[in-house]
Amino acid sequence: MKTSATTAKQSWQDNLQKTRFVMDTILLVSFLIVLAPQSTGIVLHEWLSLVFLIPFVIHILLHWHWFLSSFKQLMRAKTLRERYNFVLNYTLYLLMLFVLVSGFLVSVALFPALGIPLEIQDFWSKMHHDSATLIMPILGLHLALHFRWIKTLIVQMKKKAVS
Amino acid sequence: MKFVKKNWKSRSTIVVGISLLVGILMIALEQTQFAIDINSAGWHHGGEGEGRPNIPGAVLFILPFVKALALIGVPLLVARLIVNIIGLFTRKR
Repeated sequence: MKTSATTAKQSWQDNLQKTRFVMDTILLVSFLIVLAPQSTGIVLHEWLSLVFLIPFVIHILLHWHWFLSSFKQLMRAKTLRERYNFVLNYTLYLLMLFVLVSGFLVSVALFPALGIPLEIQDFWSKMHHDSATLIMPILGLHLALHFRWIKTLIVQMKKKAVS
Repeated sequence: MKFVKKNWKSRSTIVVGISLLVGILMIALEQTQFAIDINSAGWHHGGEGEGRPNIPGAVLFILPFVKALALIGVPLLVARLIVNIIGLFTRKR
């Protein structure tokens, strides 16, 4: 006999929107943890940033079709929202890459632990700090754009949990 | 997890490949005059040699999360507010 928890678990995994919602929640929580190196400590911050790549890649995989059709959609875009969505998503992707690349280039624990010596430049330290600060409001705008979808999914997941 | 596993090897290779390529291109920025100027001027984050502030440990632990939540949450709320105001005007017309 299946428990209600097992049924609920199967249901979100069988539904693309719910799988996206659960994985996006994991991505957001892990990102918030990575965004606070003063709390976690630099060593944990760097190792967690490496682990963070997994939910980041999963997020892209779960929105694979959007990426494939994004340029075609931009050509056909009729509303400002669609164009804004395109620009914002790619800005966020590039900024995320920049934060990760600059972060790896100022690594004091990760690369030395892997036996890779690094000569840290002030330029990358500044870029990492500034881009990590800039990515937060951009993420806020990204969440605002998908707010209705988030709200709908929360209501749906709540209903499922109650019934 | 069937949606994550669908063609995940080939898709992940493409994502990681493109990201690595873009990442390597980003590293080239350190050759720019802007980077050289910052490196020669020097840059340090926060006050140096000022010691730890007189704030309880728990608050020091929570503050970075509060900062992150505020920097994400405020633009989110402002954007929602603007969308709602625009929606209000377009519905009236």
